[in-house]
Amino acid sequence: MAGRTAKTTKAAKPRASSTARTRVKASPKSKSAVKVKATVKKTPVKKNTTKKAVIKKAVAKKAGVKKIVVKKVSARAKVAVKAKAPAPKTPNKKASVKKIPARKSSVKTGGRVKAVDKVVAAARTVKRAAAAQASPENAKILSELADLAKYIRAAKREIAAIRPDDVKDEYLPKAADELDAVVEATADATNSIMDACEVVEGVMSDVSPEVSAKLMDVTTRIYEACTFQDITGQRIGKVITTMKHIEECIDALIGAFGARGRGAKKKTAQHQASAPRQGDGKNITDADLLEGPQLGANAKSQAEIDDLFANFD
Amino acid sequence: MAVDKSMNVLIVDDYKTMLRIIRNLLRQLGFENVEEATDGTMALEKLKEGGGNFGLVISDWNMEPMTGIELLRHVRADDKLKHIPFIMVTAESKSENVITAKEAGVSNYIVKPFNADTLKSKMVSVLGDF
Repeated sequence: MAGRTAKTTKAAKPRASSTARTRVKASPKSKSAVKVKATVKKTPVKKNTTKKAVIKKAVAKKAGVKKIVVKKVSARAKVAVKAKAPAPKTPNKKASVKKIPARKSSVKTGGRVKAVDKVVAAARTVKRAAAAQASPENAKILSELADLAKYIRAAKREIAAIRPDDVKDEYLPKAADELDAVVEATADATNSIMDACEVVEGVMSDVSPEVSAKLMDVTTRIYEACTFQDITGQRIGKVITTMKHIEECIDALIGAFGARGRGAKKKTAQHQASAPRQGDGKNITDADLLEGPQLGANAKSQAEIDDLFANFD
Repeated sequence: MAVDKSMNVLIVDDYKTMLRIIRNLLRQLGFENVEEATDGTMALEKLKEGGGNFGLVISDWNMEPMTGIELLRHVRADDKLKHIPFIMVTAESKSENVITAKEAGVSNYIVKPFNADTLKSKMVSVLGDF
């Protein structure tokens, strides 16, 4: 589950960005291209035939540009541009795109900025910067950002639909309580069985050796069978550990996508609308009555049932 | 040499029902002097208090705060306790577990669920015939 969650959130993470002045891709290819650029600088090459220029022309042609005019920029002008201070933060001007910080798994909610919101904010910054400069590369970036936004919205909707806060706050704790009750019940039953076996062992000396041997054999087999309780207890323990891990994953999911609140409120509203009314008994169906064994204080003893029964007479 | 069934046997398991089962099986085999511990730490204290007067330890593996394998290592590292036969009775059945226990000095290894015959045969293998 953790792996799937991680993959989902990693898939939503946009590629690392670079400054507006350099090529926006951060792939190994472009890194080597940067290296090539550095070496190209040292050797005197005509401006029109630099690798950068060639790539730009190819991209422009692909995008359908019919005429390419090569700007002649003096080396002095280039140095002056590079020496400029970092671009201002106002949205419409050329801005150096901030590197999107690594996603921190956020478990905290309730007022704090969620991880996915940070991604969305960073994506908006990139979008504004890209929109400020019309170019084929930026068009591609804008298109990818639009896809990313769609993906995040769809993921948020799907996560909210499974109501992760209900799963965490209601279903998982209930399941854990039921499993604890299973372990306790089997332990009680095993002890009762062994109590009975010990009584049988106690009377073995009062019977013939033949019968005594048979009783010994039978009680031994009962003790052997009782070891099931240890195994089932351990297996249930593993299930509870798995459930705790699922709970942590759900916490991380809620923290990243902020899918808390809506589901619970919806469910509460639905529950209130459809809950059988206590007292008049008119709305209670047979299906509503099937809840299985109760836990703890909710479980009525036989004596309490007998009292209730007697009250109907 | 005949096995002295009046020896002290220490059984260690965090499940009380398992302690009761093993105790009853041991009683059926004639071993009445059985002491119990619910984890490795408690077991080690009892062994040290006993001054090495235990004739056998039967221990589970998965316990907290001290596991059975840690208890075994402590026992084998202690000059006064290292001679005590130690049988691991556990649900851990991977080869790695058996190898680790063997390397730590376990006398024999029983996988849960087990039957009385298995318990007896492993006890015979470490104590001698009885």
